[in-house]
Amino acid sequence: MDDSKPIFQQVAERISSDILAGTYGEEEQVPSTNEIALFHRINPATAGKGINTLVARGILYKRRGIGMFVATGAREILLRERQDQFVNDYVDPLVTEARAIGFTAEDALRVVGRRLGAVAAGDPRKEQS
Amino acid sequence: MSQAAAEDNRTVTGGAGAGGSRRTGEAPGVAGTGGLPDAGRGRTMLALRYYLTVPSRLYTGPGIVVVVAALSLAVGAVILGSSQAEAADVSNGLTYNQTVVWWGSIAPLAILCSAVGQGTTAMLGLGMTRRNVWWGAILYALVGSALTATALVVLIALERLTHGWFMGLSAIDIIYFGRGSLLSAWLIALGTFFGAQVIALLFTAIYLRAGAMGLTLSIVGTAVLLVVVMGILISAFSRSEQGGVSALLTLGEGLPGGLLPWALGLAVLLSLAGGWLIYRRASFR
Amino acid sequence: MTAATTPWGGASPGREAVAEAPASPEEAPAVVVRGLNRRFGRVEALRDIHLELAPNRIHGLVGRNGAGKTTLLSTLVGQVIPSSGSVEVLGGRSLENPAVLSRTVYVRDHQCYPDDMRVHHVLGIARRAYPRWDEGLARRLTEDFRLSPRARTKKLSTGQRTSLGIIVGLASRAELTIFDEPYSGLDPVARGVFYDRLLEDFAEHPRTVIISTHLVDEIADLLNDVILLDDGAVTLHESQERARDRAYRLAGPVHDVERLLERTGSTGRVSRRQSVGSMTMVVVAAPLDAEAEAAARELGLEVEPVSLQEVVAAMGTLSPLGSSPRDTGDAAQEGAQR
Repeated sequence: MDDSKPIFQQVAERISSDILAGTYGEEEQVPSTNEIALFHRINPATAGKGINTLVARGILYKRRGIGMFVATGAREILLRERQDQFVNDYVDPLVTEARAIGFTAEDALRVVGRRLGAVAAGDPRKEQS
Repeated sequence: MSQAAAEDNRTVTGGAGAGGSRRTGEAPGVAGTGGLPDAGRGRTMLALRYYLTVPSRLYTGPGIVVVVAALSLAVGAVILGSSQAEAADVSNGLTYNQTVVWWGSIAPLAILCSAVGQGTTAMLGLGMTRRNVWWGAILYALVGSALTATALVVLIALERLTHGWFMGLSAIDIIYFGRGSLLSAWLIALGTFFGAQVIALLFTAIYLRAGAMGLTLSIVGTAVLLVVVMGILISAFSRSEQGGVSALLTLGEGLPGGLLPWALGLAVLLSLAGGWLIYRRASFR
Repeated sequence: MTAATTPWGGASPGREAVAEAPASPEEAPAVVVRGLNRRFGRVEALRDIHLELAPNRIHGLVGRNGAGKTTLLSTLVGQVIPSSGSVEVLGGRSLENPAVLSRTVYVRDHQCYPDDMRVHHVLGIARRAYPRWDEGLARRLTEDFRLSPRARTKKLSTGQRTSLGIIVGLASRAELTIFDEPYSGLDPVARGVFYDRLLEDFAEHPRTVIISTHLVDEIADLLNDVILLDDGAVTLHESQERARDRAYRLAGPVHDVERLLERTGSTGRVSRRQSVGSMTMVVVAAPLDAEAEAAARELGLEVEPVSLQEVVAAMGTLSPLGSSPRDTGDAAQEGAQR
């Protein structure tokens, strides 16, 4: 875990990414607080706090006496959240960088379009510019 | 001592109160014990166990007694063989030999003192109290001394049975042990060995409380004190007609065994109390 | 509160999933220290310490060498007698109190044992001392640390001696478990074993753990709470996450940085400063408030959180009220007492 963000937030992000990637399907159980704590070598309370932020957002829910499960519609919620953050997290830095290196809007869009095309074709490594 | 007793009482009530809130983290399968772990006296026995945990410690005293006795006997046999002397004369000379007393007293000291000195923080770390560690050490000294005394008395009995190891030599049944019943020999031996360890523990306590400098000062102080006392006694002897100290000495003659054993006994009792009083307020950083 | 963790914790009722404040009102504190002072001759080792430690958490006691960590820990379990003040542990006075002490374990750095004792002697006594002793865990750890039960304690290397202490501390499952600098001579692999086993066992059998260290970053993530001891006094006691907010890093062109520091009145709170060309980086030992953050954004300065080690270093170089910036490299590593 790095120091740039609170650890509980990193825990929550990690689980979110795993849900988006399909590692944990909806209505499937996620690892316990203690398992997460051990995996990341962090205090169980911190892991619990990370999980609780996901509960508060309706992504996980608790089954009494069994454990934590991915809520139905969790992927939907996460996707929406990430889409909301997309501009902030990726587009803004891209714009800043593009301006710094003298790219015009067309330059930037062309590069992005080419990358998206390569990913769609199944080989994200091929096109490097 | 009364303050110490008061501490114990508080202990019991505190324990009961704390016991009520001891629910956390007690997985049923592991705990099993339910109540509090046995506190107090049980832990003094645990400290005793700590001292006894290395078996070789207990054999040192008896072992040294047997070895020294054998050496004394060998020396006697050599003298007997190499000279024209009568067995009775050699034997008579041997009964003044106190080597076995000294070695039986001193050899176990090093082990005891290092066990207390080096083991104190480890024992306290395992949740024992100073009281446990200290009285555990006293009990251990008692057990060790009893074993050493027993080994010695067994040798005396053998010596008597074999009429001086078939040579008419009494190397162990010496004057120091009274040459009386085996029981009295055992008690004298026990008192000597135990007393030596108690006095050594006093100095261990001083070391733990006041460090090396404190130990040095206390040893020098004791030596000075002894010289002064000896001086007074000697001057009393030289002017034995006059009252004061000589009256004390006369009184001593009325005691069984004379003044010396009683004075030493008093010193041991004072060491016992003083050692604890010093140790109980020691801090271990 | 109980319901919050049961599904994951299984056998851990009574532990909160979200734990932030150093003391939760629901449970009696495991340690209560009031007005504690201890002097050794002319040295004031501990100065007016007030401390309440919440139960069933992992507390980190941090501070530079000579700050008084060992003295404080020794006082908690009654091994050092206070000059003044009171120490209560697990609901009772700890000094010479068997009902309390029998539920504690205190593992010293460089713990010494009588010369003739062997590893299995030490473990045997520890087993008898604690009703909740886990022999299986002790065996496993003995193997993990490659410790020979027949080895004489006198012949153990520093690292092996530390390992033995860790085994005793973990397997005893004492309600209050104290480790004083459990690192001496341990390589990173062995330290990893310690962290893993500690977390594993703590998760299943919560108890109050205090670990003192000056290697802060390595255990920062393991901690619930942090206590910073500086020159015999507690200068910080907070949850680990909040403690991290006690300082921040600021980077940018020199005079922009200076301007910001002046504007937020934190010129005297700079604990570390490094410059390359016209760029400078400072660590400010103050919480990052909204005003400062906004100002930084306006000036285009980089603002970053710092590691706990950096917070400790920052708090250590500046006295709580103080204003003496020092251009030290890594203050916490310097070691010696000021």
